[in-house]
Amino acid sequence: MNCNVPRQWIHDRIDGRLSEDDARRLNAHLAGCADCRAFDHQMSAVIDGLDALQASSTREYDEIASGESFHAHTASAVGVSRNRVLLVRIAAALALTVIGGLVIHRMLNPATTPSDHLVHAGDHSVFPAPVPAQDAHEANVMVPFDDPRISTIDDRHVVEADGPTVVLNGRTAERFIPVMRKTSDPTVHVVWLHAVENTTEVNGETGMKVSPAADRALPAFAGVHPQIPQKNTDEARNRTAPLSARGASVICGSPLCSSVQSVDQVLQRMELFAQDS
Amino acid sequence: MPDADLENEPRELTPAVRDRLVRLAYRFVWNRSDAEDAVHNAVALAQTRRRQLRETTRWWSWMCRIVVRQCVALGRGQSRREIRERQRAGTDRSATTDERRDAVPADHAAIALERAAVLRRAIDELPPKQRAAVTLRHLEGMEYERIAEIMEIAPATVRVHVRDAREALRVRLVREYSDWTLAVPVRTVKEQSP
Repeated sequence: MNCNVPRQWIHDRIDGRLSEDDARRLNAHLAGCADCRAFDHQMSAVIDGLDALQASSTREYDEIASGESFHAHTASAVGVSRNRVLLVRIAAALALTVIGGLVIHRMLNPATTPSDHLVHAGDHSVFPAPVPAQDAHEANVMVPFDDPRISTIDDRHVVEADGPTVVLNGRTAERFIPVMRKTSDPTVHVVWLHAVENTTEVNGETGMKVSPAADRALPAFAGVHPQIPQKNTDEARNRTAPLSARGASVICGSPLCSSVQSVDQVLQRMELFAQDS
Repeated sequence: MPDADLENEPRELTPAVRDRLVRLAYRFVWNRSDAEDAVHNAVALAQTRRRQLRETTRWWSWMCRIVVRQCVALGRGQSRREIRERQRAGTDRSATTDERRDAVPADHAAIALERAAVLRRAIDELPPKQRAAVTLRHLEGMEYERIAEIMEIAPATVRVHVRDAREALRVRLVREYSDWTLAVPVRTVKEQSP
């Protein structure tokens, strides 16, 4: 018998649509064909591997979504003891407490103003000043989009700050929803701000209506870099700017960045930026 | 949430629905940020293309289609970039079987993780239609009819794409692991994993 037909039967069996008659014929063929037995064995391994990938990716996504430590996941996956993971978590909690204390201390005793972080280069304002990665924890300041830890930005937008309501490219946003996101560096978090027009309750869950136009304009307050080419039209900007460039706004080493206080700091910087430009 | 609840367009995109879309995108791009990017772009695109949502098409399939297309478009640039970077770093995945045999993983969980990583790369390098079909079928667990609706092709054609993708994965894995079927079966690993 031509081996193509039994191999199609093997695929049908994987999909659960092999008839009993064909299953009997397949088994008879496998009993006498070593090549098809090997094929069957290898295909089973592929399907098992896909099942394992599905399970591991689901676990991975759930852990990311629930804010589990990336390190904890990796460590447990390779068999590091749970005690060690616990120690890492305790250390992380202590570190966050210390960082939080430093941030609060800095807020209560402001030694510098946000404008200290502004750097001017030619006709462009670099906002904010680049900070070394190792200082990001303590400084709790923003770094520009050309920081290698976040996606490269290839666009810029015009931003105007107007009191408590922020006007972005002529569109108004009622408020911002901070969404903290992880980066490839587990110590670095990016706070993604969504411009929200309103929130509604649907099926018992709170949904937010995001203003796409205002949302697209958001990243500008995080910085305009002289190396970033400027597109000619608003339409081109909106079409071509990757969302990672449009939305990533704040980068720092502390989850405190997602607090309202930090968002206020961002807005304050936006005003400064608007005045500056 | 069952798909039946999503056949018609919901009034608002709730966090739960959005999470399902991000989860779908994650299976393609393997990165939470990129997945959220793809979904955000897809939602924006869907708003401008609502007229394309014909009455005969179910909303969830239509939305999934836009997300998958965004992911595939996003993945295309990334794959090329990653291959270039791996080649520059001299770490392109072409370790010989002997090298693999020497580097025997410490335990079954490590074997399963390594195989999952190899499969993930292999899927990323499949032709777009095969990649979409096998991802939706085996990683998302969708029915062929649903995949056909998402990909706008006949169910029989989806079966062909899935079959070709499995074949390509089999060839790739046999090439990378000549001892693929001799090593610890993944099913055993899954049973032993907590």
